[in-house]
Amino acid sequence: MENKICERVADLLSEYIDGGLDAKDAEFVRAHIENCAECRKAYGELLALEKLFDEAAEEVPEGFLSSVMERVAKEKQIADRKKKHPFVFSRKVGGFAIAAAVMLTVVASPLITSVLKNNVGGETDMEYVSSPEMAADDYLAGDRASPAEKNDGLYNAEAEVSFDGVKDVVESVKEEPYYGVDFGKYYTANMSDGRVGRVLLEDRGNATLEIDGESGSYSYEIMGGEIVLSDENGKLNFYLSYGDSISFNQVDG
Amino acid sequence: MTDEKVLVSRAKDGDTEAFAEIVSLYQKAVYNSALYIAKNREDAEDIAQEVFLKLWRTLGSYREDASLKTWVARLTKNCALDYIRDRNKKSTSSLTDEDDGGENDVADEDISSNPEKSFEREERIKAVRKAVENLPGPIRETLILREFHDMSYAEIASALGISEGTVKSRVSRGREQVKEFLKNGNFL
Repeated sequence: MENKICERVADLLSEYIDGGLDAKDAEFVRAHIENCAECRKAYGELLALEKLFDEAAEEVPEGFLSSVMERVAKEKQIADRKKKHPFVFSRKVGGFAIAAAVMLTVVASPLITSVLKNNVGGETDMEYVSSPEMAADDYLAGDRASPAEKNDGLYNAEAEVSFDGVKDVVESVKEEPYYGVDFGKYYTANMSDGRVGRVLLEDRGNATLEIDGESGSYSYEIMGGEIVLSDENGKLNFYLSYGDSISFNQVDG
Repeated sequence: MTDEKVLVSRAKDGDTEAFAEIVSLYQKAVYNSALYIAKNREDAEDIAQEVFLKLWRTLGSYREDASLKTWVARLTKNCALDYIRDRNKKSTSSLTDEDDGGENDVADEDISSNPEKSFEREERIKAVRKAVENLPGPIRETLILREFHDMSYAEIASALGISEGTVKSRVSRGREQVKEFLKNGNFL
């Protein structure tokens, strides 16, 4: 009987030292090791092991934190530059004359990454559109949109729109879905079972995954630094590798 | 200590001082995890830096109901996998071969550079590292999260996508195997 109890305690010892047992089991273990030399010895060895793990943990190299923060500061500089919006126009103010000036200015400078405020019915409406197609869908007939251009992780698209008979140009800004990833481009997908497929992320959170000649539609979101594709069957988690090209790698488990 | 959620919220807004505090909180755990994968300090430092850069880049998608510890652990694992994949591509020899002249090898640390540390203590530490390196992969990664990231069983389960029961089993088996290794070498 004692052996069975010792076996049970041996199974629980690890969790006991981690403080993970409930009160009843913790008391069971505590009481037993008080009275059993063998189990007390095993407990002592585990405690000594934990001390060794602490000893074996190294401090980070000198200058590690400052090296990391130097690189972070550089990336922040780039990101801050991207987010500046130097021009904001109110379409309705001044009516057609201003709208015409806007059109001339913006069309002449297609790489301006500003967002235009649209005053419709007296209310200011700031809108991000994710693609020229969406810009065209959302506005009145007769709109035209330029192909989206990517600069520094931002997609710019222009659409010529009409409000109440007044023409205007809307410029849209959308951030890339994940660091370095383009909308509408296929990337290698390395599945955890060894199969290789390809994945495409579209605007509005839609994704396509092709494996073994079959194509599946998913929604995607960024969670925990990974890109998660979901459908009615479940989720597939991918992290990205940035080698010669970007690849999506399925997370095992 | 500033609440971690406050730090994350500030860092998401671009506060680099807050992010530096987050790095300080996790740098030792991340670096030591990387050491067990890379087995040399130079590569471990590179992996660890990459983890924090990825954390900075993806903070915008961090959900405050998630555990930062878990997120850092997953990033560490994924960066380590990238490292192994790159290393395998570059080398045709076994995973344990390192061809840097051993200058940065953790297992071959020059004891004379740490005159105040006892020889015995150094040998013990080397033995612990060797024991952990010899563990099967899933057990090793679980044990590293417990011992160096100080994660709870629930947090480890979440980070690795496994059940808590599996975590408990792996931690227990990992410790037993390390203990046996050390006892065989008379270090315990």
